[in-house]
Amino acid sequence: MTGAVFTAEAVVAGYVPGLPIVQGASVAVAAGEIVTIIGPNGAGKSTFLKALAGLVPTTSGRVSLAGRDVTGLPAPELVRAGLGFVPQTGNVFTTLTIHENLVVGAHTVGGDLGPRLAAAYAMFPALAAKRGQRARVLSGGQRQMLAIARALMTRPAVLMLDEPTAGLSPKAVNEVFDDLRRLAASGVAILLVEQNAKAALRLSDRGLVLVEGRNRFEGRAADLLADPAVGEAFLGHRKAATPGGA
Amino acid sequence: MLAQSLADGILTGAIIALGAIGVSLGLQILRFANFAHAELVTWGGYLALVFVTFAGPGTPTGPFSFGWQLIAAMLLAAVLTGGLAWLVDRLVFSRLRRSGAQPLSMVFASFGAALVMRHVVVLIWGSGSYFYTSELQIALEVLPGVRMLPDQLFILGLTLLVVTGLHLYLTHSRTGMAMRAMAESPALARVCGIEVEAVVRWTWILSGALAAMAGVFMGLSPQIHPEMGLSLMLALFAAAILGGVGSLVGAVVGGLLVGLAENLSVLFVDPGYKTAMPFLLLLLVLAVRPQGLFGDKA
Amino acid sequence: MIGLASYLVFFFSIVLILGIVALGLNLQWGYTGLFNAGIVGFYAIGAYTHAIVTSPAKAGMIANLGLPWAFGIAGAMVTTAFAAWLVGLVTIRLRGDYLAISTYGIAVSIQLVTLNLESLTGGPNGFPGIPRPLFTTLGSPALFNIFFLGVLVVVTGLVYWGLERILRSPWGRVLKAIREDETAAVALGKSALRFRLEAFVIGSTLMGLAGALYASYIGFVSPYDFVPILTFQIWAMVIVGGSGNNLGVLLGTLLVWAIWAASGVAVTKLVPAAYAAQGGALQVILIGLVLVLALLFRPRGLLGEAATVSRHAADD
Repeated sequence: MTGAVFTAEAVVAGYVPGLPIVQGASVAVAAGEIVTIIGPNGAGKSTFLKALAGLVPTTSGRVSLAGRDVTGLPAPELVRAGLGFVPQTGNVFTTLTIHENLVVGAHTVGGDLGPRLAAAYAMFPALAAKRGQRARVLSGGQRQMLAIARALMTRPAVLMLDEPTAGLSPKAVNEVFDDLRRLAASGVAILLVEQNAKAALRLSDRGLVLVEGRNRFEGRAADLLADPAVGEAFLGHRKAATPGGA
Repeated sequence: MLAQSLADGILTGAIIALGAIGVSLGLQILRFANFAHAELVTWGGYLALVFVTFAGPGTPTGPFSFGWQLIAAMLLAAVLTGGLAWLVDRLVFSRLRRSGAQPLSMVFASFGAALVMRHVVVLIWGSGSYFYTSELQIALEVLPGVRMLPDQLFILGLTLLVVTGLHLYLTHSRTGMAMRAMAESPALARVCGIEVEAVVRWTWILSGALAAMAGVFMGLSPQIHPEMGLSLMLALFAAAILGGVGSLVGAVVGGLLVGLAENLSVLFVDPGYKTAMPFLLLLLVLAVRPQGLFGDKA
Repeated sequence: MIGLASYLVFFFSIVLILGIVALGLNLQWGYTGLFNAGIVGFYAIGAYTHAIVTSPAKAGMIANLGLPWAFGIAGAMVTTAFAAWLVGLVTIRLRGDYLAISTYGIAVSIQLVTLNLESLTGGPNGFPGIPRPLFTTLGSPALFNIFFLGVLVVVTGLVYWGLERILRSPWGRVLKAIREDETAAVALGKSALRFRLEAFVIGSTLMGLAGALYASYIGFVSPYDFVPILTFQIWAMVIVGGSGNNLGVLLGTLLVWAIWAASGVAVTKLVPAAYAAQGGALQVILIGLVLVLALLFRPRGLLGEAATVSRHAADD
């Protein structure tokens, strides 16, 4: 799509050479847009994100970020190019304080971090109150906040999140989704992988259904929610969908 | 007698702590038990000797047996040993890392590297002992019944200074935080844009420099010989694991406890078994609390 | 000619003894992935136990039993097995490098015992006069050496044959599964630990057996026969030969011991006596280099792993 700040085309990637898990997936995200990748277990959603983050080797395809070809760059280079990533698990340093987590998040940024830290604490006041404490004291929802705040320290153009609501309480899920909405409104391009597919699609502008490492369906999130084929296979709808049923 | 043993134990412990910090960083950041680390202690001692041989240990200053030259020699040895550690990494360990070798291959290679490093010392300097200085010192009675040499007090003071400095470095500098981040999770560190190889290199240099200081301190109390590092090896591992891998405070406390155990054991068992004490302490820790006193992970 | 022949008999005897040690390590490392850095300790336990069990009573020695050779061999194996079992109980569940540190510590401690517990071990002066089987009957040292070489061929052959059999049994296949596959190891849980402990004890017992054979071959042991370098020589033999391949390991033993012996000869011939320490250092440096270079350039050894498709193969 035109105007996308982040595009990935026909990406093939996997842990073991010759055994690709992602087999030609494509995605594009524009500034201020939220795009969600859904799909069955084992479809390669997480691997796709990790490949885009430079953590899993990419064997072919093309990735560009803010008009620059970033295909195959190692993770630190991608961070410098403007990519932020929040992994699903182990996404905060539990032995470091909240303040230290944020400083480490800004590792590629030189100079005074004061304004960035202030912005992070302004966005997440709950973190500000605990800035000197080790991250292991945080609740699941707060950890997710910290992980997002940490990834934002570099002021990335695109933020990728791998199942940011997994294991969270319904209240914390809403908070995380609210945060993502605010971020998108501020102009960040957001790409997320979610198990909680329906809620994520309601939040999103567009969606992508990944099956066996390839794009199966893609389009406006609202259309995907309404599409009976998608609903039946990937959103848990019965064949005869109950009206308004969740 | 007891008080004197305690004092001796603290001195030994300070030296062990300096070496154990490197072992602990290695176990945590490099992720393998580096059996060649103790040889860096030996190399530090001998590299300082090279400088002392040319410049002399200096005119004794104040109560100490040496002058500024020895301190300069120590700093030089710290830099060179840091470089040596990095060189060994480049020649051996980084190649193994790149080939995706399993961690135990690294342990192995570290045994091989240790053999080479130790015996190159013998090749260059022979198997005998060396003293930095032949000055005699008079022990001071620092506490009732506790006598220590001025040089030993110097060692304790400088160790305290270095450890405090290192603590501040690890908690307040950007690189220090990156090192701790990588110690906890290399994967997440990469996500944060940290260059793993840069942190690894810096870890080697830092541990090498600290090991060199331990080596020079051993040389001051009172001599250096090719097996000085080897004789310390079990104590270094015991201290690092006892304190809790990855914890600086742990490594220091572990070092002190091991030093005390060695020196106090002499009061109860045959001194011939002194060098086995750190190991017995280690077995006890592994059986009771494998994560160590200050360890984070179970 | 006679000199060379008798040297070769001696050389091959030592190769066969060390070959048993290397086979023991191969069971632990090559087939089970256990890092034993205290080989020389178990070897020493076997040697000293055999010396104590078979030597006649003597003033100052508290435990000499004066029993026949076979009792010495059996006693050495039982004692080493027991020691390995004790060590294993504490350490086998630890991460690999902690096992390395612990076993290294065991070897250091055992050497301290051999040095200090004089009434049992003879202390730093060593333990002389260990009876050599049929030595008086055979009449001449040369004949004894040839006879003992025959004994060693038979014993090493039996050990090789026995190991090959148990490794092909279900027990051996479980070992490999544990080493190769974390999930299998976790699924087996406690019993995975039991298999690892069994492999550790059997491997160490073989080292004890080799120690006993050494003691009864030479007739004298001292703490200086059991220095850490031996551990690394054995490691070099296994790595060079190819861990996980018993035949390769025996070949590696022959090769590494030949390098060691030849470098020893070269050093005594070429290096002036005043520089003996440096000459010895060169020999050890060579072993260190063999270890490191083999790991860097030939990580699968000369022969590689025998008949198995290893996941590690894909990493090369």
